Amino acid sequence: MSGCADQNPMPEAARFRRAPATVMRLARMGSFHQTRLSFMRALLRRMRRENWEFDVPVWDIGADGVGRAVYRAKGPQRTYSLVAFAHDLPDEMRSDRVIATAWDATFTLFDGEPTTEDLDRLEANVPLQEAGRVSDQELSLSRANRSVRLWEHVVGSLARGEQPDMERVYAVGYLMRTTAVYGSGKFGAADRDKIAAREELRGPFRVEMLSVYLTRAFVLDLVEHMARVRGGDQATVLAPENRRWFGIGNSTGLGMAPFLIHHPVLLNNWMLAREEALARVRSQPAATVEVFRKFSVMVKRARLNAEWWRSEHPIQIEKLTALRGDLDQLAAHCATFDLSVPYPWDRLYRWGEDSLSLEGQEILAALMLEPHGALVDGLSDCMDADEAAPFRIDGTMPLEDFSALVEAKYAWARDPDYAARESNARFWYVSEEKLEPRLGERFEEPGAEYEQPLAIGRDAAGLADALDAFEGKGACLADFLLAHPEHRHIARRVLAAARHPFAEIWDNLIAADMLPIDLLRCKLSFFGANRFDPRSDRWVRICMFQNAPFPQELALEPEDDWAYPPLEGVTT
Amino acid sequence: MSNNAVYSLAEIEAMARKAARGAGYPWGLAEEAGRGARWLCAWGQGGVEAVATHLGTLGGSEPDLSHQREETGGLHLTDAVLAGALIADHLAEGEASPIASGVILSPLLLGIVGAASEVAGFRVDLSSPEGTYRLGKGGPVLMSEKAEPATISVRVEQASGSETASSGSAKQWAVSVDAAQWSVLEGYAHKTYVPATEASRALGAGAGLSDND
Repeated sequence: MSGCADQNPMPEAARFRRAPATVMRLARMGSFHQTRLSFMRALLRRMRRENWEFDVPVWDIGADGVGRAVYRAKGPQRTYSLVAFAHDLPDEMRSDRVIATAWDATFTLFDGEPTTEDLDRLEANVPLQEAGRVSDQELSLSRANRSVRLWEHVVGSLARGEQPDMERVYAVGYLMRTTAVYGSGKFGAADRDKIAAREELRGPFRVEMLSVYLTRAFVLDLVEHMARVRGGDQATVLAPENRRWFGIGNSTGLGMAPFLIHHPVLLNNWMLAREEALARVRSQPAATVEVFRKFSVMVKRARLNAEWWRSEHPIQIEKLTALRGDLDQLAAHCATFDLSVPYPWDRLYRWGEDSLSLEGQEILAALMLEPHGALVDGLSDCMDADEAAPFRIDGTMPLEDFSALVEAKYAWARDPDYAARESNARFWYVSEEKLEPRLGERFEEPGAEYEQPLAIGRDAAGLADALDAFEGKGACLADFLLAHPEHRHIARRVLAAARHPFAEIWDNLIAADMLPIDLLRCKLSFFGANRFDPRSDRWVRICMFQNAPFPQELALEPEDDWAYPPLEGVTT
Repeated sequence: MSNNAVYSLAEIEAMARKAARGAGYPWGLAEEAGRGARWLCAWGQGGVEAVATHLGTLGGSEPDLSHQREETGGLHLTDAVLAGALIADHLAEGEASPIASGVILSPLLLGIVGAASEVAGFRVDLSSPEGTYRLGKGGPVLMSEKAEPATISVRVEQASGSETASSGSAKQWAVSVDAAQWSVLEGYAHKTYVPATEASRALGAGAGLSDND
């Protein structure tokens, strides 16, 4: 019932689905939260269901905290191994920016079980990150830096035989943050085609999520190792209930921002799964007391999460204040909510639309999925995309039909006046310094002639103008593209958007007031990230896997009950 | 000893795309060059060399993306990327060619049409005065060097699912690339990169903030 094998398993949900014009807006996408469909949660559900086995066959870390370790994850079909290298990084070299050249720890996810020769080869390359080369035996490449203050506090506390001050742990949430996790095909790593057909990696970013999940386990083992080195017999380990509160951080900048734009069909499938999940819940004619009670507990747990969610960025401070208020309002509304009304979930959602900020509306949408796993979890299998087929242009399409498509799908793109400076203020480019995407000021910086094709709205509007001006009755699309090869890129997108309603972001991506952090937050919410903490308009820190069971605990804990912090004395 | 390095198909596609853009192709055509290079490499044929050679024929000039109607009504154009894209756009079962003359069936052209034909589920025979190539599973295969009439012809059939690779090679996802050819592409790709300025550094994500916290 909940899978995507059937083309339209729940036609009754269609009328509850939100429209792209509502959903595909940066302000809303920049207010998304993780959900049951998020990649981390789907990965952990699968590994638990399939009884994956985890161990640490190599732990070769010295008293100075330098060395290597292997974390092994054995699934029903194959084994994957996180190869971790711990380094001794002087403070002055610690930078989260992609231009850094040294890190506290570096990692790769190995496809199988590495031999000593493999480890030696990787030790010569992985610590160099972009400057090294891996092979198609490796599936990812990543690195992490310490949260210096928390790291020292935890090592010091444990070395003295004490538990750390948990208030500080709640607020920071991690001991190390990854600063890049490269996946398919980067720096020699295996192409996505190699792993695309594997059942256990079905779904987007499974390799990267597995790598980060095992990285978290390594980081916690490493901090306890360092405490043992310092404290000897006096040292202790983290109490299990405290240990869980350590997630793994991530610091992400502009490099990730264009991804959603470069992958329109993938974006569509992510959004469609999420929107279909919400529509399915809203289409339930009734709700049981038990299910609604579970939902109400989740509202409280989300409120607790919002309490510990910190940010110093003015925009996010304002959004957090609204979110906390919204969750209080939602909790109060739940306490008096009349469950006997028809379509109570839809009623609740529509109340949220009228009463809550975008942050609040989106947390409500996410929370409504929580007690409905059986109804929505299967949709997490529908979030992959075949990107080869939509690449092809069927040039035999009558140009008249193509023009009608542009009219129908890109009317939003013609709203801004691109002749106005503020509507055409920026351009996306690739920096020579680091070969990373950057955002430039068109009227102040050089380089706009090699602008990346990310100004979708402007380019679609330009295409529409060129189509209007094109003379050729009875022409086909190929005729137009022969005369106008400069519109080929956007024409390809139009054909993809024709079949994928959530493929495009209905906002001007080069406007002066565009916030790249909205793109980052949307993508990271699909990963399953939490605690979005923008450090500027183009850089965000997050927390991943906080409260998740560690590998050895996975089989023992309730399924998928970790994404919001537990309430003391409350059982779900 | 050859000076080679192994690259993933994703890296090859990205590099070929950037190189074609750097050589002056608009993004939509540069993407075709990337897909074409990827398809050739996947079947063990020299996709990187195909792009490097083709860009070399431009002699440092912008590509000539013009086309002319001949007196007979046929289309004359010379650019291999544009021609490959045009043939790919017109792929449909049967025999026809959108192009009458001007084009040489270069490896890059074959790669572009081959990539599209695989996605569309077609097997395509391309003929020109230099011979006939079959594009299907296994990459481009030279079927006949016999001189055909001085026109381009395209014959498209549904590929059968059980068809085995005609060249006998298996699809691969990482290939060894000659360093000299790779650096040719890097040279073109470099033109698409924007050098840093003090202003861009100051505006960079996370610039000027300490990470020792």
